[in-house]
Amino acid sequence: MPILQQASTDDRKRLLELFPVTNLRHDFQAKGTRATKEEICFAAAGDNSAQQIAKVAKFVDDHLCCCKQHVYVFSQDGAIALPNDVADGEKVLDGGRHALYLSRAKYSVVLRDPLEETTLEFLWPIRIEIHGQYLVLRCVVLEKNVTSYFDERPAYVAGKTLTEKTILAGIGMNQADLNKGIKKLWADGFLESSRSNFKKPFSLSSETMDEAKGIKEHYPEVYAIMQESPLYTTLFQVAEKNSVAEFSADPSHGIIGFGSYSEKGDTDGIIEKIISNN
Amino acid sequence: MELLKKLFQIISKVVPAPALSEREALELARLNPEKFYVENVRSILGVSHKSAKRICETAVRQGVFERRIEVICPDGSVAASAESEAGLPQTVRCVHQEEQHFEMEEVPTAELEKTVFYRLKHDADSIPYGQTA
Repeated sequence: MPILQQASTDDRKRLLELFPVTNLRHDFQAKGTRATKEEICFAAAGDNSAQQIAKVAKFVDDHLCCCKQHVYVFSQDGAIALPNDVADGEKVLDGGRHALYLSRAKYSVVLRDPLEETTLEFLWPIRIEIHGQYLVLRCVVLEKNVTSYFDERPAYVAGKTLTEKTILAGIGMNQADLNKGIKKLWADGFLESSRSNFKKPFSLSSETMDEAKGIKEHYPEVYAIMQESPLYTTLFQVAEKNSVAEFSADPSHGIIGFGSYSEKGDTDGIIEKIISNN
Repeated sequence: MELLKKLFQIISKVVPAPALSEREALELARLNPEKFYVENVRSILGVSHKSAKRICETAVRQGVFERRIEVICPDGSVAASAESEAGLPQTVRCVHQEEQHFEMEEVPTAELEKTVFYRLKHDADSIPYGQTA
C-alpha cells in the first residue's frame, strides 16, 4: 500500500480525522489516557512503520461504515468483480468480497487575512463491496468547511482535482434502481419520510412536511401516490432505534447518503435491508 | 356549535356586511383546526387580508383561536413552531439539497423568517375537522 506508506504525516492525520473520535480512541489511544482527536490522529499518523501503516489501513476499512458517506449502488447481470483501482487511487486492502481504496484528492483553497492561495490534499477512502448482483461503492464525505485546517482562518475551496462523479465514471456499471427495496421498508414501517421529490406522470412533484412530520402518517393519499411513483432525492427517518436517525436517498439512481457519524454496523444494516428487499 | 356561533359573532363585528353565506359557513368549518393561516380565512370569506387578520386576532383575544409562530428555513420548509418567538429553539435544523443528497445544517433561529399561524383552541368547544356546521 505505497499510497499510505508514502503519504505525509499530515495526509495520514487528515485521513484519520474523517473518523469519529470514539472509534479513534478505541483503536489508537492507550488505556487510561484521554487525548483530543487531533492529538490521537497526529500520534497515529506520525508512525510510518509497516505495522502501523497496516493498522491504519485496517482501521479505515473497519470503521468506514461509521463515517459520513455517500453510497452508490450498481447492478449487473452476471459476474461482478472488484476493480483493481479507482480514479487517482489504489487498492489498499482486498477482502475478497470487498476492497478498500485510497484516492488522492487535492483542493485548491483561497485564504483570507491576508489573501493567499494554497492547496490541501486528502487521502480519500473509498470502499467497494459485492452484495450478490449489486456492487456498492461508499465514498467518505470529505470536510467541506476547510477553515479548521487553517487555524480557523477564513478559507474557501476554489476547486477539486477529484470528485465523486469522476470516481463513479470509472465503475462502468448501471446505477441500481432501489425503489422496490426502499418502498418495502417504508410500507413495513421501518422508514418514514418527511421530504421527497417524486415523479408524477406529467410533473416532478415535491413534498416537504412541516417540522419533519411523516408523509405516510399525515398525508396517506400523497403516500399512496408516492408508492406508485419513481422516487428521487428523499429524506428518510429510521423508525426503529438506530444511530442512523435519518438518511437521504435517491432510489431511482441507486444513491444513499448518511450525513452524520453512526455506530458500527448501522449503515451496513440499512444498506443490506434495502438491497435484500429490492 | 358554540364555537361557530362565537366565530360568526366575531366575523359580523369585523365585517358587518355582507352577512356570512351558507357556503362560507361550511367552508369555515372545513378549516384544518390544527393549523390555518390568515390567507385561508381571507380566501374563504372573500375579505381583505387586513380584515381576515382582524378576525383571527379577535378570535385569539376571545379564546377561540390560538396564535402560534413558526420558523421557516431558507428552502421554505417549517423547522419548528411555538406559542411565541421566545418559545422557539435557539437553532433549528434546516435541509438543503446538494446534487442528489439532502444535507442538514443547524441555523440560528434569529436569522430565519417567522410566520404566524392559528389553530382552534384545544379547550374551545370545537368542531371535528371535516364536519360541517
